[in-house]
Amino acid sequence: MILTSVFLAIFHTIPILGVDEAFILRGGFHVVAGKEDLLGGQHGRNDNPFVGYGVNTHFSYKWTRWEMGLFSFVHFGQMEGLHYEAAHRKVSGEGHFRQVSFGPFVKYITSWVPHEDWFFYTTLGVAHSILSLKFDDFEVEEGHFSDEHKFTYLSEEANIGIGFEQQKRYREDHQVFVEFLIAYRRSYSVSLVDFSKSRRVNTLGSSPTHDRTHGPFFLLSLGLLIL
Amino acid sequence: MRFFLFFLVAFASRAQEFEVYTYPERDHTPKERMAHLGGMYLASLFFYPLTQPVMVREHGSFKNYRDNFGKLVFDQDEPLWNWIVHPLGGSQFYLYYRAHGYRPIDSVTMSFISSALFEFTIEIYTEPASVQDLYQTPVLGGLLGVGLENISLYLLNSGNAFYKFLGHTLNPATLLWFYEGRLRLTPYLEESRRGFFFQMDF
Repeated sequence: MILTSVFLAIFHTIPILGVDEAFILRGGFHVVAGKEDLLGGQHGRNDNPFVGYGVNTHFSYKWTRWEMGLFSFVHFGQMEGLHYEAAHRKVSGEGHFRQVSFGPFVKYITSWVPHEDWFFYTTLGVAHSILSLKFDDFEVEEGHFSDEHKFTYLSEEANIGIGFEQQKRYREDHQVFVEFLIAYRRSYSVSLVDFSKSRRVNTLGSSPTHDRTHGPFFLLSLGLLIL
Repeated sequence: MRFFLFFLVAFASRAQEFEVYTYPERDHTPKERMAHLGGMYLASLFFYPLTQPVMVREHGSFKNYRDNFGKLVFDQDEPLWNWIVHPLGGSQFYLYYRAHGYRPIDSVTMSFISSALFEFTIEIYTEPASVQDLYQTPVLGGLLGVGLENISLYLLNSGNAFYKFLGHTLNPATLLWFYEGRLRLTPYLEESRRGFFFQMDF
C-alpha cells in the first residue's frame, strides 16, 4: 500500500501549474549544522561541531518537472576548540568560519502534493567550496600568526535533498520552498592567507590536506522565487 | 596634460516628460541584445581603470593578461569585495538592462553574460577570473538591483526634486538616452586638459 502510494506519487502525472520553460532565480535563508575535523587532525581526529546560518541562491532553468541550474550557499558560524599545526605554526583558540559553495544542481518535482499547492521534490548537486577560518581568540604556541591571518580550505561537496515547494502560475506570486539537504564535504587544499590588504590578499603558503578534513553537514533552507 | 571629469548637476524646473517612472518591458531581437551587450562591455572597459586605478597601475600588465587568459580560480578576497563591491557592480548591470526594457529575469541572464565577458576579457588584466565573481556579480547584483529599482522608482515618482536626484543617483541608468535622456557626456579637448563634462539635468 505504502509502496503503491510512493510509486503513484512519483510517477503519476498531476498537472503542475508553476512557472515552466523559463529561467528563475530563488533566494533563501538557511541554518547549517555539522561535525568535521576542520583542522586536519594531525594528532588524531579532532571533530569540531559547528552550527551556522546563511543565505542561498539558485539560478536555474525550469521545465515542467525538471530543473537544472547553479546554486550558491554562503554560511557563517562560530567554532571552538580549534587547534592548527602546520607550516611551522601552532595555533589554538576559537574563531568563526565562512563557507561559500557553488555548483550545478538538478531537481525533480514529483506529483505528491501533501497540502494544497505544495509539491514534493528531490534535488541532487555537486559543488566546489571555499571555507575561511579566522581565529578571534587564539594562542600562538609556535611560529608567527596574527589576527590578520586566516586559513582557507578548498573543498569538493556533494549534496542530496528533499523539499516542498509551492507551484504557482505566475512569478509574481513568489512561490515559497522549504528544503532539507544532506551534504558531504572533503577538502583537498589548505592555505594560510594574510588579509591585511583587503583588495589583494596574500597567500603565505598552501598544502594538500590529504583528505584528512571531511565530514557531513545538514542544511535546512526556507526561501522563495524572487524573479 | 590632465584628464578630468567635470560634473554639472542642474536642478531644472523642466516640465516632466515622464508622468510615471516605470519600465515598459518588451522582447528584444538578437541584434538588439548584441548591441546592448556591446554597450555594457564598452562601459565596463571604460569604467574599470577609472574605478580601480591602483589595481590597474600596480598589478595590471599584458603579461598578466596572457597568463590569466582562460584561467578560473576561487579567489580569497575579503567579503567587502565579493559581497558588496561586485554585487554593487552587478546591480548596475541589472539596472542597465532594465532601463532597456528587459524583463527582470532576462536582465539577470544578460548580466550573467556581461559579467562573464568582464571577468574573462577585462579583469584578467589584473587578476584571473573568479568563480565567486562570475556567480555573485549577476545573482546578488540582480537581487540588489531589484531593491534599488523599487527604491529609485519610488523616489523618482515622488515629485520632489531632491528625491528625484537621489533616485537617479541610485539608478543612474534612468538618466541614459535610451530611458529618459537627461545625461550628457561632452568631450573637452584642449592643449593642457582633456576630459569630459558630465552633465545631469533633474
